[in-house]
Amino acid sequence: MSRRRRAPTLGGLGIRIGIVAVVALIAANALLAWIAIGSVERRLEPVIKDKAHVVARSIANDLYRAAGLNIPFANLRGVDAYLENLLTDHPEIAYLAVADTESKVLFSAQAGGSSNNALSIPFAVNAAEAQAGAFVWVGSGYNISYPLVHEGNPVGHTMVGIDRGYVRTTMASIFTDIGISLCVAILVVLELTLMVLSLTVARSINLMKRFMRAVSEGDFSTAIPAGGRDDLARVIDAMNGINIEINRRFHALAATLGTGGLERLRAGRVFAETGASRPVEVLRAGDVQYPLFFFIFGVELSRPFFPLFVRDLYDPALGLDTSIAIAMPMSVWVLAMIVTTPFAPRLIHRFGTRNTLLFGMAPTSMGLIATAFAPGFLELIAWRCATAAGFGLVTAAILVRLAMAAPERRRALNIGVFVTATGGGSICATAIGGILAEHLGYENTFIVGAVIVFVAMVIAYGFLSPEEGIGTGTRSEARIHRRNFGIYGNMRFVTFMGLSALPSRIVLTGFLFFLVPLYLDSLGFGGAAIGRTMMVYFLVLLVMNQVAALIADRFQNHGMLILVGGIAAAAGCLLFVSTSDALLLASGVALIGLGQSFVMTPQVAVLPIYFRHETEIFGTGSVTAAFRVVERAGSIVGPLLAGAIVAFAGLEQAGGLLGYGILVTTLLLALLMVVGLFKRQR
Amino acid sequence: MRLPVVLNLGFLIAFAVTMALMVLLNQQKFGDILRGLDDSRVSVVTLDTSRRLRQAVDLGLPLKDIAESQSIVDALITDYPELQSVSIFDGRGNMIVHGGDALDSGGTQAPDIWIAGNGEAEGEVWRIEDPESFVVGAPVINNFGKLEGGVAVRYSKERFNSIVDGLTTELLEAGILIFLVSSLVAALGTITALWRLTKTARYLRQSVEDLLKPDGTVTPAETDLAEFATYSASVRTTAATLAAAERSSQ
Repeated sequence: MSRRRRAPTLGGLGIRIGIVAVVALIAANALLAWIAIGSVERRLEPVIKDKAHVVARSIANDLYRAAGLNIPFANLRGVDAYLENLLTDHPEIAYLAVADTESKVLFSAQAGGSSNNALSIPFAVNAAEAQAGAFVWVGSGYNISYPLVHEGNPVGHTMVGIDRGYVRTTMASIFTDIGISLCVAILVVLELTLMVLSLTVARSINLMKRFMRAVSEGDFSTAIPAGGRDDLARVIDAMNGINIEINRRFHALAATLGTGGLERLRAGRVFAETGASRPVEVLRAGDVQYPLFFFIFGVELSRPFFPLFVRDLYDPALGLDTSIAIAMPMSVWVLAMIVTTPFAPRLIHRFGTRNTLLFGMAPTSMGLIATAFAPGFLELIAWRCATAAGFGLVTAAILVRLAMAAPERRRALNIGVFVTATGGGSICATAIGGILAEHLGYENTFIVGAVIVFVAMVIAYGFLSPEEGIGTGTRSEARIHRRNFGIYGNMRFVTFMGLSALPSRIVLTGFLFFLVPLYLDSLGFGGAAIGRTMMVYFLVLLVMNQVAALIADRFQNHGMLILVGGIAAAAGCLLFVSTSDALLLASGVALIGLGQSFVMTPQVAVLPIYFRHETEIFGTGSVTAAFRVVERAGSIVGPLLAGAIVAFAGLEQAGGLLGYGILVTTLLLALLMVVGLFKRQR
Repeated sequence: MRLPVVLNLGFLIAFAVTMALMVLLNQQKFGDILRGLDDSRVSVVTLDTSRRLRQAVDLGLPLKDIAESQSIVDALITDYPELQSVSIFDGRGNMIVHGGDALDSGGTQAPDIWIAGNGEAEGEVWRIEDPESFVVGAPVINNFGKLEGGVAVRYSKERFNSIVDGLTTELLEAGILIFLVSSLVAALGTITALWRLTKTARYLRQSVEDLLKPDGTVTPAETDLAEFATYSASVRTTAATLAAAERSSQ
């Protein structure tokens, strides 16, 4: 049979539409940015010139005092230092100078502290051009000359040069914000494109394929659930119409035909004999990717400023040290998550995936709103528990759903869907969260987060059918009951966990989530800058996770990767607290991200390699579960440990101690690897 | 809803949010820079005036006896028309010289908030914002460290607001125009990209609708798509079986 006509593939369609949307978005925003910078410069130029006039006049007033005492300008001392001092207060001024009537520079100061000789001032003006009390624009108009006139006689000039790059330099900081907003918008547009295409095109095509296959095999008892009024939905309506018509005719015949006649009709065919059709369903991993992306986006929006929010809310009268108080809600978050996580399979089994996600997302969204309005620290803890409980349920339910949606061989790919959605959501959230916090305030940013979680709820409601997952998902529960705790008595395993899994979680929750926002805030970074710096971690993690997994699988060198990762994370921590330079700070965070990506995947992969005997005794599930428990313990301990060290030694020293701590545990691990305690077991 | 409409609706929302964020960020940053420059300019004027007065009080003159005060204030009001008023007051807040627009509180006493700000400034400038104006002040302290009084310069928010509003309007106008053009480009691009899919869907729907027609014409999809061919064969066979049963039951 010929196949002249082919339906366009979803990937090709998504790329074409995505490119169109992204190009239009970038072009539109670039054009608007260009218009904005011109508009801002045009409006600020006269204001800066006014300011230069005032400064010139102020210098002149001071110099007139000397002239009033008949002291020649050239004999004055300390004028250079005075001009230098003035420059520091006025960053838009490039240089200040005082010249005599012959235009010879007597005193000067230049931004950046250049010597007088290096100063090139456009003295095209001569004294005759300057009227008493009038300003003269020299050269480009960015140089102002104010004539010094004493008792009707010209005695010199005050020169003020405006830094032409000031406006652009000052505006540059918002262009970074705009660039980040644009990147996030591009990510959102691409997610949106794929989501809509997935919801409409891919889903419809898959449903049609499954439906046609059923009909081809003689099954007329199915129907595709109605959804939308697009062109593909109309094809589905037409196909459903065929089955309805055939079933109608069958039912009409059933009333008149005898048993023999009906059996002939039923031969090789299935009709909707009860009157109701069975819905055709397609279970795909991508269905939970989009709600998860928006869910993480909403929840993580507060990541760059959460410690600062707690610090502002905490009343020291409660008696706890502020650093420990800031850490508490972060540790409580992990605890609340642990409590609700085991309920996910049971809830899916009873209420289905969609309802379980909605059960989790609703308290998360409400928890975020309540957090914004929390009147005190204790209320904040309570609302963070509610938010985390929902968060734990949603993430666990999605992992269960992803495991359900794929056969064993594709499970890793489905977990990749989870990593991509959480990574993408976290990148967008930390970047935008900081910007929003700076411009809208912490409370309003929580509200925006709650709205985005609500969007995730709407998407989950639209994507997933209510029955999906009901009656499934109990296997993991059974696994939990069979878990063997004997592994914790194995010293080799406990040592490995203590030197690798525990420190890597402490770096994440104690250093990155707790210490980084506080340290950046202490350096005077705003919310947007904190968000930008923290975003680097998620960006590096998202890219390097895949690379680390590839390297580990290709070279089978998990141990080496764990060591390199540990050293990179330690170097990142130490670099971070040793500098105040924005680029070096971001490099420190990037090193932590690199370290974490090298450690996270190999840590799991190495368990059956280094602990082969233990895996045989206790089972792979128990060993992996024990690893996860240690990880979570690290997540709880991380902020509290960091908080305690901060209370004892201060922010910078705490960061340094954590960095050295990671270095020491990594070197110990390396030593134990060298002596053969941790090696491939055969 | 048709697919291009759903997609473009999503794009339009993303475009609008991004561009609104860009206008908002530009407006806020511009406002911060402008406010900083204005404040810094008036601070220079205020500190300059305060220093001139200090030179006189350092010679032992009480602030109220400095004859030059009135001329200093008048010169400032003339030289800087954007200033609403310039006031010189003594340590207790009694107004010594005032030029420009009258204060709401009357002419004899400086507002309490000024006196408090002046007292706490420790030689630096102090700033206060009221609904209509920004106030920058500086204390006058003699060389024995005694607070003799202060200078307060008031400038209107109107100029600041009108400059910021001007920028916002310009950016909004440009933004709306760019939004419309980019949305049109995105919409046309999306429709073009979806054209083949839409055409395929329409042709498939027509083929499905024609399946049960009594004339038995072979639809184009049956010859084009293998999956549709087996589907249509099953439908036609079942329809024929049902038709035969219907005929036999009559």
